[in-house]
Parts: sequence; C-alpha cells; structure tokens
Amino acid sequence: MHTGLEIDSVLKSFGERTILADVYLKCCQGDIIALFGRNGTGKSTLLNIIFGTLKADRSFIRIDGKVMNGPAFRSGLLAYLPQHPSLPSHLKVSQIADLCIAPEDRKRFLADKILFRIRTSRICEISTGEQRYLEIKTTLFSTAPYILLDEPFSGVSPVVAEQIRELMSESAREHGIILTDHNFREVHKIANRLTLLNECYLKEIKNIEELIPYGYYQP
Amino acid sequence: MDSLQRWKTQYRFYRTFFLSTLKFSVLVSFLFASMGGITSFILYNGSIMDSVKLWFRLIPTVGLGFDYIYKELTHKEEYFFYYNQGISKYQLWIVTFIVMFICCNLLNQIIQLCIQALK
Repeated sequence: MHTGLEIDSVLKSFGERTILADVYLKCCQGDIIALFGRNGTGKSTLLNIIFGTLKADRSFIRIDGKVMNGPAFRSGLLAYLPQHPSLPSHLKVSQIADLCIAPEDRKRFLADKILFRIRTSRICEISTGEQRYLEIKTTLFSTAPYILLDEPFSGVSPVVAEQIRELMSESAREHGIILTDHNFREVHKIANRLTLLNECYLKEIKNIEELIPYGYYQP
Repeated sequence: MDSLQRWKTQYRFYRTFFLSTLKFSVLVSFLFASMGGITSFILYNGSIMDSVKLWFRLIPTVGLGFDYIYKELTHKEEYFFYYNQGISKYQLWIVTFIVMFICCNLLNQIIQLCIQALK
C-alpha cells in the first residue's frame, strides 16, 4: 500500500551557508510536484537528500510508512533521474531495456519511433537528446512507486518534450513524481502541484500568480 | 517471492558492473605485470610463469584500484544507474573484488595444475 513519500525537517548547510531549512514535502501517488527555484537554491540538493546520495545535517524521510534510516535508494522505493547522463556508455539500448524494464513492459518500452530506431546502438553512439529521452523513459518505467526527476527537459527538443510530458502523465497514474526544471513553461503544463524553494524554505504555490514576484511569469 | 525477484534483478546489475571493470583492470595489471616480469627477468632470471602469477595477483588489486580511480574521475554519474536498483557503490566494488579475486585465484591454480601435469 502506497501511503506516500514524506520528507520533513530537512536541514542542509555548506560551510556557513544554509541551503535548506525545515523543508517539508509530501508526495502521493498521482502527484506531479514541480520544484521551482533559482540556480543554487538547493533543488538538486534536496532531490539528492531524498534519494540518499547526499547526507543532510538533519532529515526525516518516510516512504510508505517506513522510516528511512540509511540511504533511501537502498529500499528500492525511489527512482532518480540525475541532472547529468548516467547510463553506462558501453551498454546497448536493448540491454538497458533488458536490465531495467519488467519483461511485460519491454515491448511497449521500445515501441516508439526514437527508441526503436536506436535499439541496437550503444549509449556512446547516440545523441545527447536521445540519451536523455532514454534515461527519462527508463526512470518513468521504474517499478519504484516514487520518482525524482532532476531537469528532465534539459537538452531535449520541443517535440520530445511533448512526448516526455505524455509519459509523465501516464506514469503518474501509478507513481508519485517530484521534478525540478528551469523550463517552467514545460513543467507548468504537466505539474499538478507547484512548490518554490526560496531563501532555504520550501513554499507551496497555490496560485500561479504567486510566482510573479520571483520572476517566473510576467503579469 | 518479491525479494527473490529483486535479488535476480540485482544479480544482473552486479554482473554488468563486473564486466565493465574487466577490460581496464586486466589491461592495467597486464602492463604492471609485464614491467615486473621484465625487471625480474633481468635482475633475478625470473620465468614467464612468475609474471603470469603476478598478473593474476594484480588484476583484483592494482587493476581494480586503477579502474576505481578511472571511474571516479570519468564515469561517476554512472553509479546512479545502480543506485536506482538499490545497489550502493560500496556493494558494487566489494562484490566485484570478491568475484574477481576468486576467479583470478582459480584461474591461476588451474594454470599451475596444467603446467604441473605437462611436466
């Protein structure tokens, strides 16, 4: 039973500089939570803390009722798309599918124009945009109930961005998704909850006009 | 059943990582073993078999060590591929070292036995 991913009391400083203070966030199945914020406000830091690849000064993470004492990724309940390419360059696209995708979903996974065309290519032989698309699709097809996406729209064309949005809404039926991206117009089209990281604190945005003072929208 | 399935999946990821370390560590250890072999041949009249023995000892130690540094410097992000399956960096390297150590020792013993048998 998926009761949700809860992050509470997150505190993180780098030297004298506090990046995150008392951050609270809850993500449930069906949520697509957009995390906005300027460069250096701690969006990627927060995702890394949730995933367990960065230790916070203080944090409390609970996934589906289980309190995470060690890195949360060890539980297998989280999937994470990092900002930079992370697929092993020596593997072929079909091998990635064999490794990461459940047998019943593999056909559906490779049945799109982009992936079908490159299925026999190695990761090092395909373009950055194709790599990004493959990574996003692999993450969204994960069996983990909660997905963290760090800048999924960076380096992809508008047509591919459209496909990614469709994949995300399809995936959100079974998953809870937290994503961060500077391309707020793309994110805004897909997200059903908006949050803003500003001056260490995470604020829930109820009305899109609340983002105007932060330079996101022109009135 | 779920944990068995998860173990099966993780096994395939461990195998993928192990295979990704082979090329570099075998090559680096071969270079070191060759240098060691040449030195021992010149200084102590050593045999080729001493170099082979040394090579098998260097693969899981020096070879794997150099591969670790190489991956840390150039392919650090690739660990996320394994994190997404619930496997940590330390688990990957410990399992790879153990498997490589056992394989190299076994291979070394087999070669020694073959030589003994041929004598």
